[in-house]
Amino acid sequence: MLKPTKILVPTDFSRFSVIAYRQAIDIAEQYGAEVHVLHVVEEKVRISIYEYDMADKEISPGSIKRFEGRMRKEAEGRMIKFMNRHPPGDKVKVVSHVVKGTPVTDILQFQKDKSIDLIVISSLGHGALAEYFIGSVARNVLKGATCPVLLTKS
Amino acid sequence: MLKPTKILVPTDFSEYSDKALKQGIDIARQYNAQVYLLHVIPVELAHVVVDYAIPIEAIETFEKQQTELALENMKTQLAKFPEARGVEVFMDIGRGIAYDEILEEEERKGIDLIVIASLGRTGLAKYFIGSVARNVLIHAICPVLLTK
Repeated sequence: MLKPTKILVPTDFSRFSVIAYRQAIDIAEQYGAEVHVLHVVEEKVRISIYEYDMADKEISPGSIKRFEGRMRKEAEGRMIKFMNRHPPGDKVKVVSHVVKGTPVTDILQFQKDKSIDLIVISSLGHGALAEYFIGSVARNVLKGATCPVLLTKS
Repeated sequence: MLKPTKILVPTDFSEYSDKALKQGIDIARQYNAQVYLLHVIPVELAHVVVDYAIPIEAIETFEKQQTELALENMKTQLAKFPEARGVEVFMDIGRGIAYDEILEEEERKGIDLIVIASLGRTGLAKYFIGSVARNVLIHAICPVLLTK
């Protein structure tokens, strides 16, 4: 636990998450750890279809799938851009992941599955209103994680 | 910001804060940083003076003893971690509302990392974050490492 070996950085590609990412790279350099960058594509399409009772013939399961596929492609593209814009240098091994789901649940699941021993997360992402808040994703990750969590500030 | 130089570890001497202290010392060794160990004594005594007409001197004596005892506890806690020997550790006893004093110390000492346990002595369950940690997480200017 004390010396991190696998560091998880959840990102929504916002400028706040860049701060967390840089911090994680820095820690990884210091401890010789590897960094996992995770982006969760929210399953919002499916949810809103149920919410608005649009699940009729006009929206076929096929078109939802296609739409979700496009979202995933877009997210993967952004991840590549993110990694290109912030190259980790050659001292640290960085692995990027794009998964579909709900951010908090999947971040916590990822932590357990990959035996992550440190999460670095920014206090804010896209969804936040004011700088003195902690966003709901960070808050729930802080609460639910079984490893230490480093909360970075903007 | 990236390389911590002054690490603040708030402690209530609980086993949770043991973990935070161990983590704090470990980071300090890695980065050659200083550790500021802080315990905050709550100020409930002030009310007793008014409510029960206890002489001020008695309170002052008691408070002095309290501070000394807290320092003793702090030394005992620190002694659990022999790896701290090479690390410069400053001990401080505050008085007031815990999170408030922690945040003041952060500013006063130019702290660039706070390591705090998610729970302290008054914590109920493992999946909660205690109120002190929560308020420190929200209001701190520097990064905060929450230990579990």
